[in-house]
Amino acid sequence: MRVRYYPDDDGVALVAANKGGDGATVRDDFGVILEFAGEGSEDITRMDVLRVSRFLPLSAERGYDAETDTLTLGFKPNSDERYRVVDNGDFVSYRQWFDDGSEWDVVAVDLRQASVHLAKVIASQPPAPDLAKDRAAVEQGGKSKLRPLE
Amino acid sequence: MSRLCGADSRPILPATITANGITRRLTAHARDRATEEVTAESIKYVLENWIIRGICEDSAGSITTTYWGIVPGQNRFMRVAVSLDDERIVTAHSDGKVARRLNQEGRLWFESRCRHLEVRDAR
Repeated sequence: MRVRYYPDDDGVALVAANKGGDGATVRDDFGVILEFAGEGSEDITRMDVLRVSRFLPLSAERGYDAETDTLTLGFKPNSDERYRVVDNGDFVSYRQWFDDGSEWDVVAVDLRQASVHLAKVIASQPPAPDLAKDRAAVEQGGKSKLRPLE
Repeated sequence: MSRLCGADSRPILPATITANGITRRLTAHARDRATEEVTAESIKYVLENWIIRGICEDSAGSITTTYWGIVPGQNRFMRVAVSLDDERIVTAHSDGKVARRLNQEGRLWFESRCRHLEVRDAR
């Protein structure tokens, strides 16, 4: 997988193959843009994520499963809903049926090896403040290094 | 020239595209989305000859002025998203779902996501 990171745009492109033909976005997230292997194919060959920092740091609240190193973008269907899973490489897409013309629409994508593919992006993020260290410093008479909320 | 080449010989789109007299800057991400179908000419065509246009918002909080159109010789819609200040082309990509959504009675998908929706007849 080739990864292209655009820090000024807060975007990343994950390119598995340069065979892109048809495209789409995740149903309720226009910032996740998909390219498929060809006309009528459901295999994702490229995924671009805009505003990628919203998924960082990787955490359960942001759709990350640390046990499997998988990040979910979008909303997976409930088990009682009608859906299909398309598994190809490190992309697993969840397609749900909609009668609004969308038919089998991609509602979510799992990105496997998320921490590996997003390593460049993760490395560029500012480090999270060490709250415990800051509190200890204040308790010992020092100054907080945190900025107050405005 | 429709496509330039970056340092590693990958095709890239130009830094700006002028359509209908408005020059808009492309984000680095958008410049890197060049394909056989996504070219400076096709983006310009969609911005000038759109079939659907609206201010569209998704549940993830992204809001753009979005243009969808069909470039002659291509058999599917292309989506071009422009920042609300009308200065930047945020992204451009083919969008294979649009035709069926447009043909659906009530155009529910668009109506539920886009304000100031305008639809023209395909030329």
